[in-house]
Amino acid sequence: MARLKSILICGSGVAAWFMAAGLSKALEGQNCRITVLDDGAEGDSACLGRAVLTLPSLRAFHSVLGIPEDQVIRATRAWPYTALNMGSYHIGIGDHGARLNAVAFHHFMTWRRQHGQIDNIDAFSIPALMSAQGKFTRPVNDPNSVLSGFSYGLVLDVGRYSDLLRHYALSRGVDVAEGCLTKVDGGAQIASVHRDQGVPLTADLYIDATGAAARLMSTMDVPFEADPYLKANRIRPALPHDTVVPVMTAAGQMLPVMGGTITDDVATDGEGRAFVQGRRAQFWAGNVLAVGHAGGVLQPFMGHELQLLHTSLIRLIGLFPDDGMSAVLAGEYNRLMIQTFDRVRDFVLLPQVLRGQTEGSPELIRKITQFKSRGRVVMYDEETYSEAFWVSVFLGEGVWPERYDRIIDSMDFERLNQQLIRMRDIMARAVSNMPPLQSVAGVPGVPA
Amino acid sequence: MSKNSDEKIKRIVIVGGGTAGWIAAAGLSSLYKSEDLSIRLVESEAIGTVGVGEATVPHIRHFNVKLGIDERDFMQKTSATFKLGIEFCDWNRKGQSYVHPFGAYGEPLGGVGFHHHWVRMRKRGDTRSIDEFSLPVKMSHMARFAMPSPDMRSVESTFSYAYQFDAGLYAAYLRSYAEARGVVRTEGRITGVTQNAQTGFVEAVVLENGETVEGDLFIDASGFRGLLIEQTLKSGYEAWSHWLPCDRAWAVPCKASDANTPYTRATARDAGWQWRIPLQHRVGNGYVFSSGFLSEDAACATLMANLEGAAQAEPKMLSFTTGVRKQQWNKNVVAIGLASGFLEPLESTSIHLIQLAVTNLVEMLPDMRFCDDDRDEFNRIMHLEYERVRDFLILHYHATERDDTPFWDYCRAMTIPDSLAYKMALFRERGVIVNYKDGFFLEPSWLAVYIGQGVIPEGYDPLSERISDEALTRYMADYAGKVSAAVQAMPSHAAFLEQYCPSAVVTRRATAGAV
Ligand SMILES: Cc1cc2nc3c(=O)[nH]c(=O)nc-3n(C[C@H](O)[C@H](O)[C@H](O)COP(=O)(O)OP(=O)(O)OC[C@H]3O[C@@H](n4cnc5c(N)ncnc54)[C@H](O)[C@@H]3O)c2cc1C
Repeated sequence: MARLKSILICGSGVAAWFMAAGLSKALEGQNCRITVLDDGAEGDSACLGRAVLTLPSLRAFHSVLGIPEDQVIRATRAWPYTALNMGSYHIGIGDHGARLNAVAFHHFMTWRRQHGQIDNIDAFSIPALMSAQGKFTRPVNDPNSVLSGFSYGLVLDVGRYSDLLRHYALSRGVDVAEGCLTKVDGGAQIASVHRDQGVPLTADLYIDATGAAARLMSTMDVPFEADPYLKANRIRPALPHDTVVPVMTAAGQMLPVMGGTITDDVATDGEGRAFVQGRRAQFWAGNVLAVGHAGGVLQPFMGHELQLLHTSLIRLIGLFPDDGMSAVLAGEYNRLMIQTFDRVRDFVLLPQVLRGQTEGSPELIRKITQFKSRGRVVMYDEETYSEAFWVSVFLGEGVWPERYDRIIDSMDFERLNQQLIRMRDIMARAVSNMPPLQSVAGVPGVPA
Repeated sequence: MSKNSDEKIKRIVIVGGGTAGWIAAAGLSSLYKSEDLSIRLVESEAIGTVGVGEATVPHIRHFNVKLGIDERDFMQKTSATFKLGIEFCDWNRKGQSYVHPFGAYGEPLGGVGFHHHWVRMRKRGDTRSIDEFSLPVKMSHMARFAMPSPDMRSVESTFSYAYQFDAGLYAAYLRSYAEARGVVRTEGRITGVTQNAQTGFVEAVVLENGETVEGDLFIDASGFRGLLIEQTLKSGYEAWSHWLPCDRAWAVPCKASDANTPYTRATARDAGWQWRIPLQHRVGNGYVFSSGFLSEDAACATLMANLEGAAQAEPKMLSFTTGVRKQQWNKNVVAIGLASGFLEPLESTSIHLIQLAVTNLVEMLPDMRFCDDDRDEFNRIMHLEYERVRDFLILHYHATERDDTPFWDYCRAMTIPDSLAYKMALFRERGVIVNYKDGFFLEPSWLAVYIGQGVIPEGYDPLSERISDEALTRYMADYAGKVSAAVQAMPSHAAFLEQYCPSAVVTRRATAGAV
């Protein structure tokens, strides 16, 4: 068994360049040739819509690559965000309130409600308040500070992001193969990839980043399974990133944009591009790995597109094969990625199920039942979204637990109420003292 | 919308005053207001407790912290010693031993787990044991102890610890804790149980003297018999004896011969294994064996022949069936401890599982409506935990080269659960350790036992090569040096105990011995 010597990535979108950049860093000094067959065909980015959200953990990716955040922000015309506006509520990146006596904060809100206090849930969420008021500051590390319980992601122009990663990859010696993909010799293993010019390309490992068409994976014996729950099949990208950017320069005008939806419009039937939600039965089969939309398609929501790419990359690196392509490693990769994908799917599905628009998976139904019944957030293995995300959607969609944690009853009623009100005031004050989002270095329109 | 206050449980009855019963009493009483909730515990001195269960895992410290227990006081009163891990002797091969430490081996380098680098150097002829890179293993070998450092950058922070204590004193300690917080203890043998005619819910337990103890929620901590969960509610049992064939144990305390070792020892024998748990005032011993492969008398003789000091009591035999109650929570009865299932004490997991059950019960405490969701979620999680411990235990028996007795032949050749088989395959092929969110044996534990049991990866993470041979050699020498310097600077375990938490029992025994 010898070391893996060549990787061929097929695709032209962000998925291809994300993997190329990540692998070029991870395989530094390994004498492994990475080639991208970028034929300019419409890949992930078109389908993704042009403005894309990242989750906080993507910062780790940039820091591994050694690209400072300011540079990411400038190059992709990004701005940081702390919450996704869902219309009547925000999904904040961070907890509501703080734990008291080891009891999660949403139990206290449930308790207040049962005692006739109807709170605006966003009032207890620093990231939601920040988002609503167009404020921003980076979180601090001190767990005792109110400014420690949240984080942030970026809203970025995915085309520019792809370019940034492309430059990075090329500067690290990733090759670009000329031509357009014409034919794939697949089966149990891919033997070669043909193109309209030059010799066919061969590699030890193939990465299919060709978008939903899955030009490589579709030649393998691995079916695409349409998601039984997510029914939307049309997509109309709502706000191309470019039209957002100019608004950013003028203070005050940014708020409507931040307050508007930046997730794309999806529908069942009607106008827009057709797409089918679902995933491959396996993400890694033989010597080919499908990433991005070639692996699975979900309607846009809160940053899962890039996050799933990041998870794919980390898993691949953690289970990095040699040229023998072990079925054991592929099996573990698939086990992990299938769970990861399905749990993300559940999160995307959650608001729709709570609104009665569709059914939930058994795992999601258990989650909903447990939350409704007693505010318990069931967390499975390989969850991408932490408890706080789920709680925000539940409460935001008006699902209140029937019972709160009984430990609260052993606390002093009056004192606790005062404590909660004080907490809310501290949060409000902290946010109103923050600088406006526009002052963040690198944000478009702001002198760096 | 229903409110919490309308449907609250007001009376909890704990059946049993062994380790499980008093852990439940202490856990529940510390969290709830006593005017809100009455907690009663019924136990029978005549029936008694199993009284073993003396080695723990580090999670017990979190539980103690939650209860606000002072460590020194606790250790003094339970005659406790520190535990840095378990030494397994003769498991893979006779004459070979390894320590499963509570702590890491080396540190990840270049984003790649340390053991990959170790495997790589081994393939190039480096013969150093992975033990050289584990502080707690070295501390164990040299019987040293010091508190872990809070400075995460220092090598002195790379371990955790648990306790070894006297089970009887532990129960007594928790008893006084719980009673101080309002738990009412009732002495008496339960001879009857009344159930609701329609629902089958338990309404009361009836004592020998005719007294009736009513409750809303019952915690069955009655030990192996499962008084409520099985004898009354017939919840069923899932036996795992085909994977873990031991079904008996002889237990006996003896006088300690040498200075206290900061670890538990598990020595493989012909048809099972023998434990040695050092406390400050004595040593606990036992032989866990399979009656299908060895007679009770022969097992007893083996144990008695392998004591380091004079026996301090008659050996006592316990019988069990490894497995788990099909429903640990059924109707208004929640089983904990031996009533909920049994996994042999090879990795000292029982007390942890009790504390986990209590923690989960606190989080999922039902109300008078007893909705199925509470029960189902509790059962789902506890079952998962049992299964994951089970797989880890099976690994010890299955990954062995021993072929000297029919017992070991059986274990080596048996078919193992798929959930374990794929984990072993991943490790064997490429050193990958499967991790879960639930399940408390983390990467270093699996690593210790895999390697100790002779499962050595054939391959390693190729990304290890990002570090050059020279840099790696330097790093490894440096790390091993830091480990050994740190150990050298530590006091002996015995000396540490002497100044930190001298046993209340030892003092008494010393006086008695002088007479
Ligand atoms: C051989 C062996 C070694 C072990 N080693 C370890 C170890 O190293 N580490 C570890 O964590 N765990 C270990 N365990 C497990 C540990 O001992 C138990 O989990 C722990 O003692 C809990 O027991 P229990 O309280 O459930 O049951 P028991 O100790 O059996 O208590 C049962 C209680 O119920 C009461 N009771 C029963 N019937 C009635 C009745 N009819 N009326 C009134 N009261 C009644 C009894 O009086 C008693 O108080 C070991 C177990 C065995 C068998």
